[in-house]
Order: sequence, then structure tokens, then C-alpha cells
Amino acid sequence: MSKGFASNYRIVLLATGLFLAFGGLAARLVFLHVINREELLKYVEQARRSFIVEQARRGTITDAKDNILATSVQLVDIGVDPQMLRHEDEAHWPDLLRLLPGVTEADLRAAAAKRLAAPARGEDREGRAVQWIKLAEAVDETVYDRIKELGIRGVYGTRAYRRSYPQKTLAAHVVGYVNRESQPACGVEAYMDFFLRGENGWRESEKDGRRQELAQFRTREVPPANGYDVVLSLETPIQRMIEAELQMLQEKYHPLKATIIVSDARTGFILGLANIPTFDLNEFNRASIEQLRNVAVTDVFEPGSTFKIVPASGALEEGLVTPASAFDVASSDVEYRGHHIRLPRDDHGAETLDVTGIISHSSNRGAAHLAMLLGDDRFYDYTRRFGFGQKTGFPFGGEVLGLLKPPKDWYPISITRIPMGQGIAATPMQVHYAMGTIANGGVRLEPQLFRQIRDSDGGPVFVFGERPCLRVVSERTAQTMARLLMGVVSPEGTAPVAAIPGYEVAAKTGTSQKVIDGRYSTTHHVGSFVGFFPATRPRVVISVIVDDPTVPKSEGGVGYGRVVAAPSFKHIAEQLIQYLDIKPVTSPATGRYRFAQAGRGAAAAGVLQ
Amino acid sequence: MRRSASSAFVNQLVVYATAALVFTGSIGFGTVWLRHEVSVAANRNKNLQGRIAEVQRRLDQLTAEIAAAKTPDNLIRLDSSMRLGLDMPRQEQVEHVSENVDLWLASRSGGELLNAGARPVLFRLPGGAP
Repeated sequence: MSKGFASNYRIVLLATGLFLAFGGLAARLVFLHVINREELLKYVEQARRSFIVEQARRGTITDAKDNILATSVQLVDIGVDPQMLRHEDEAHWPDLLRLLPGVTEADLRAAAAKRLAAPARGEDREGRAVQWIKLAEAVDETVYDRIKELGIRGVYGTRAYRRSYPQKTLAAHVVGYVNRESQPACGVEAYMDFFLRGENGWRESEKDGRRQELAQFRTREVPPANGYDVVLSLETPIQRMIEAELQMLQEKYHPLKATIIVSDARTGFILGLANIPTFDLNEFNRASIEQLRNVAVTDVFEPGSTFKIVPASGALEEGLVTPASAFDVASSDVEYRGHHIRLPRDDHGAETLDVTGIISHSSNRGAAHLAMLLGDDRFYDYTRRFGFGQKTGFPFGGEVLGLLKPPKDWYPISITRIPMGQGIAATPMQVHYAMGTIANGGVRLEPQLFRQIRDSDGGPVFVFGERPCLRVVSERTAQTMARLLMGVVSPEGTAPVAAIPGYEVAAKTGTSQKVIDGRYSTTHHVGSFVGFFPATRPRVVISVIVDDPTVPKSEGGVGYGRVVAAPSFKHIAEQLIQYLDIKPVTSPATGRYRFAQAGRGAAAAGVLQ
Repeated sequence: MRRSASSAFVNQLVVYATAALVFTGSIGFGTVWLRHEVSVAANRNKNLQGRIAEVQRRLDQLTAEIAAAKTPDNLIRLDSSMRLGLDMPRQEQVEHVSENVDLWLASRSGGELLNAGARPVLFRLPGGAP
């Protein structure tokens, strides 16, 4: 057996030393891990545990051709940590201030001096150390890169998603906006928020003394799910056309408000919708309530003569009249259901007019005769079927019902006034889709604004289609009405100014007096022009509605629809012909009114009965 | 004898203790090294994620800038500042083509080939019949 290399004394000493050392260590460990465990764990949790939220990217809103209307960008809020500022960096402060135009040297010095925050109420200790004072908001990445290059210790940024609207005012009432608290306030932003917003991710981890995450200590992690993209049916070029037209109307007539709507005649998809007054989506906080309102669905007006399509369509559909049926429009009085009723005034000066003439000359008395032929209930029923007095289904913006009383609440003269669009109130959207019913062969469509919802990789999640509501009149009646409406732009019609050589334009003028102080005003009007083209195979429906324009004396001084709205209709239509490549239907030289004339001739021969 | 026996036992104990220390130390160092590698890999991943996020961020910003640059207002302003004189075509300048434009263009550019009256093109292999 070996003798070993150490004496007993030394071994005992070494063993005792080791035992004491390990014993002390063990005792300390027991103290830390068992006795003082809860308190220390609490401290560790506070000091090291970190719960990091990863923000999901809000989806993009685009038009039908993928032009971006709203997107999310990460911008940087620049701030300063007063505890970390160094005197030697002050030489770079002027460079920093040049990069942050809204910040002055005084701001920076005040931030640097504020090292302690005031203690909270009831707190006896002195205030906590200030570690972040915001200097500037929403600085873009390139500026932030240059700030970092300055190397000023204590100046750094925090990133946050901000909504950016690169097209500014374009389609502002449709797109809507997200406010500074990242809450969607109106428009598509609010209506489609469920799809756009996505789901934030998060991770549990630990951080070191410099508050940097220790990635190896990540325990649980849920990645963010970015929001879906929403594709609208709007087309930026068309939207731009109608907004430029509204701008022109604003400069020329200074109206109180105006609306232009363009939609696909066969599907009901809205291709353009704009109002004035409007606002810049990036500066929504400067807009007034009036500017924010989508007046196409929130405001009502008396539709005036554009409403005459309802009694005419109803009477044709019921077989009560043909386009050639003639009416005495010279007499100012009529007997109806035992009441002696005074008919509204007419300006065209004709003695008799057939249905074609009633539409093309916009005869108030003729429209009243057509409604009286239908009777209260049937006329009311057709009015409802054309969508008046009920919501069109436009998805957001606080759409109102309009005003349409049931026949039991009518005055005896209502049957003569409502057919000319008086005593009834409608939104521009209701009037537009009533005309769209004729363009779509008698089937009323619901306004459709969305084309697709796509995931963040561009794959379709949901595809929207057209949404027919109900058949209002037969296709035959709709075709007849389309031909009658072509007479409006004929030389003998109310708006020859809207005729486009080579194209069949079917439209209706409207001029309604505004009610001022309880009376119909003779100086304040709403001028409108609503129609579609080409009449025999409609592609687009266009509505131009101008509220209270100031018309110069040289143009008649009155805001008639033919004066203020019809030229805009024509101008937009001419641009749409090129943009949508709408082919001419008739020869520019000879065929402009072919169908209107043919309609009369055919009707006389009994073809259209 | 007794002293020798106890010394031997102690010596063995020291040797075994040393061996155990070395063994457990190796495991300890191995664990530390592994943890270090884990943290290095985790940090590398974190940095890569950060770079991907930064690229995505810059892409988003670039996309927004491109969208802003393509707005009709901006293009009109550029047209004016660069004096390009661009304008929307007027109705009378447009000729609507009703037939298939692709076929029409193809027949115009390759008229000789597509023309029914053109001579057939023969391909010959070297030394062979057509």
C-alpha cells in the first residue's frame, strides 16, 4: 500500500478548509434559493424579465389597379436621455437641430437640464431619473440614419408604425384615416379594421443591465400576424378625373357642396366617388366636421327632375302608357280622387307632350300625370323599389334613409309634386343607383366598393362580386327608358350640351329649389345631372350634383342642372371614353339621336307597347 | 501501518476527488460553452431578424415614396416643371379600333409571313431533301 504524499495534519486542515468553504457556499445558496427566494425572485422578475410586443403591420388599402391609397410605414420618434448626454457632444448639436427643423436649441437645452422628474403625489423620495424626453415625431429612416451618424450619445429614436396616405386628398371620404392613437376613425380604415389591423405578436425574454434583450433566454414567442390588404373598386385615374372636375366646379361656382359618383353600370362597383369640401388625409386633424362628412350618403337633397324616371318607368312597366302616349300639359288644374289639384308650373310652353317629350323636356305636369295614372300606392311602391326612402347599402359613413313619407301621410297635391322630385329627399347615392337600375336593365344593384381582401403575401382571402337587390322593372322597360333618356341630350332636350358625338348618352337633368326659412327659394338651387352611356350597352353611370352654386348672370344666374352639372358630366364622360376604351356606337355625323328618334317611331308603330 | 493505510485511503480520495472535479468541471465547462454557443446563435438570429425588419422597414418606406411620386398631382407638377407639354388626348385625336388589336399589329409587323399570298418558306437540311 502506498504511503501517500501528505501528512494527516495537512489533510485534515485542507479537508476542514474545503468543508468550511463548501459549507459556507451551501449555506449562502440555501439562504438565496430557499429562505430569501420570493423576495429575490420578485427583484429578478422586475430587473430581468421582459415582455416585448411585436407590432403587426397594418394592411394596405389599394385601388383596383393596385395603386396605394393607404399604407403603413415605420417612422421614428426622436428623443433624448438627459442622463447620457455628454458635454463634448454639444459641438454636434447644431447639426442635429438642422435635421430636426421643429426643434430649437432651447428645447434641447431644456431637455438636457431635466434630469429628474417631479415625485409622484404622496411619494416622499426625490423624483425618479428622466430617461426619455421626446424631441421630434415621425422622422423618417434616412433622417434617423444621419442623426445616428452624428454619434451624439443619449439621442436615440423609438420606432412606431404610422399610417401614410400618399395620395393625400384623393378619395379621402372613402379611404378614411387612422388617428394619432392608432384608432381607425372613419371610412374603409374603420369599416375594414378587422381585416386591416392584424394581430400583434409578443415574446417573453430577459434583458441585461443595458436593457438589451438576451435572446438566449427567450421562453415563449408568438410572431405577429400582419393585417390583410383591402383592394377597392375605385380607380385612381377616374377618381383623379372627378376630383379635378369638382375642383373646377369649386373655382367656377363656389357651391356649398358637390358630389360626383361614377360606377360600373353592369356590376354596381363604384369607380370613383368624391365630394367637396374635402380634406388631406395626412392632415385630418385640421379638417372641419363639414369637410369630413361623406355627403354622398349623409346629406339629402330634393332630387328634382332626375326623379321623373320613377313615374315614367312605373307607368311604362304597368302598361299604362307607351312612349307615344300624349298628355295635356297646358292645363294647370286637374281632378284627382275627388280633389281639385293645381299642377306645378312648366316652362317648355308645349300644349301636349308624349312620354318621350315629358322626359326630354322634363315636364313637371307630364310627370304628375304619369304618377296619377299609377295611383298613390303603386307610385309609392315604385319609388321604394327604385331605392328611395331606404339605405342603398353603402357600407359606411353614416348613410341616411332620405325622406319618403308613406301615401297615408301625403297631402292631396303630393301626387303632383313628388313625381317632379319635390317633397321627397334623397342622398346622391340613392339617386345614382336609381339611375343605375335603368342602366342595368331594370335590376337595382347595391353599391359595391370592395374588390378583394388579400393576405400579406398577396393571395386572395375573399373576392367580392356584384350584389343585385331586386328587379324593379323589366329589361324591356329599362331599354325603353334608356331610349327616352337619350332625348334629354338631343337638340330639343333640356341638356344638349351633354351630347357626345358618336355616343348614346342617356341622362336626366335635375334642378331643385332649396328650402330656406321654410320656403322654396328662387335663388338657391341644387343642380344635378345623372345618366349613363352608351345607352344601348351601358358601361358607366355618372352623377354630378352641385349644391347651391353661384352662377354668373352671363350663364343665366340660376344653378340649373344643365348649366352647372351637365358640362361636367360630359367632360368626365369624354375622359372615361379614352380611359375605359368605350367604343362609339353611332356615327358622329349622323347617329347621335338615332335611338331617340327610333324610340318614338317604333312606339308609334306599337313596337314598344 | 495504520498511518500508511489511512494515507493511502486519503490519497485515493484525493485522486478520485480530483478526477471527479475534472469530470464535473469538464461537464460544467461544456455546459457553459454550449450555453455560450446558444447565446451567440440566439444573438446572431436576433441580429438577422433585426436586419430583415430593417429591410422590410425600408421597403415599406420606399413603397410609400414611390406611391407618392406616382400621384397624378406630382406627375402633373413634374410635367410642368420639366416643360414636357404632356396632355390627355382629346376625343377627336383618338381612333377607336374595333378589331383584335393583337392580330392587327401582328399582321402589320409580320405581314409577309402571315400574308396568305406570300411564298412558302422552305428549310433544307445540309445535303438532304427539303
